[in-house]
Amino acid sequence: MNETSFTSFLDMGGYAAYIWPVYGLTAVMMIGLLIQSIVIWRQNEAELTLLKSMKENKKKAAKSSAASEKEEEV
Amino acid sequence: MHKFANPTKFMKVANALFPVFCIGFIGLLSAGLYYSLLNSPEDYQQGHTVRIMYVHVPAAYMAVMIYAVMASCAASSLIWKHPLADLIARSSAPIGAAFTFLCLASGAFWGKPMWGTWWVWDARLTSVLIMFFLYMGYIALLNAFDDPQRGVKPAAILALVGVVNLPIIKFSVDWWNTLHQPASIIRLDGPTIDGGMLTPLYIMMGAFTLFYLMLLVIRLRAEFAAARIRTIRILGEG
Repeated sequence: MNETSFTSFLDMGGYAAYIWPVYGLTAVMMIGLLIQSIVIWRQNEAELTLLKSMKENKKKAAKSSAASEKEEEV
Repeated sequence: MHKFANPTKFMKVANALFPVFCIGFIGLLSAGLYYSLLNSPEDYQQGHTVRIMYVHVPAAYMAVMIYAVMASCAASSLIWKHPLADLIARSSAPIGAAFTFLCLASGAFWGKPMWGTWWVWDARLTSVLIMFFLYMGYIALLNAFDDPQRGVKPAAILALVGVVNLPIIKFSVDWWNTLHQPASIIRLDGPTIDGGMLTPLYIMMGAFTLFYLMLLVIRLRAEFAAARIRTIRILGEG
């Protein structure tokens, strides 16, 4: 593609001011939606892992305190 | 068919298809952009502005299709209380709203050079604007309650009431006088637009559909994680 045909491509027959914003907006919307969806998914997964590990720790703590109580009784 | 209504099995299939959606989307989008911007004819009346159509029409198609998906899922979540249907409906709503906005905005950018105005209050434009508000209302109702489950029913009812708007959108160009051009693709006697324009149009429609499916899988993963978080919290408090 030489320089003149590239400029005429960008010019879009004089309608550049209407055509390029539409394609730009489409790109912004699609990328925005994609990023937003991935961020929510990652946040929820991270929270879920945290909650799960807290639950495990609670179980372990409950087990070990039960065991130490038993030892004291003995 | 029923076994895919099981959320775990459904997500297994969805996750397996996810790479296909991604690769297909990238492929179709590249081809679609090539045809729409470089390798398609100018319109004999509208010149290069016809290239706005390759975003505008697929966006409108997605807006209506996603509304139909959302409303059918809302119906099955109302009738059968199916949790998967509710998750699909709530994951689809923001995507549908974004496509409706894109349809309205690209239409305005096409209207200015061709009709001489960004906006007119005619039947087609107004009915699509109403669909945008219906999407917004659905999302607002879902998030209006502290307990997210309480919003499901009123939001589903709103989505179902809004279905009446879909045939109005489709036939608005026949029923009322409007600046908007009549149907040129989905009509009884076949498409009336040039084949060189149909190719990019169909490719972009395919790309947008795959983009929706791709986002739907990601958002469903997020919703499933959120549902499990709620269960753990409820069990932890109990």
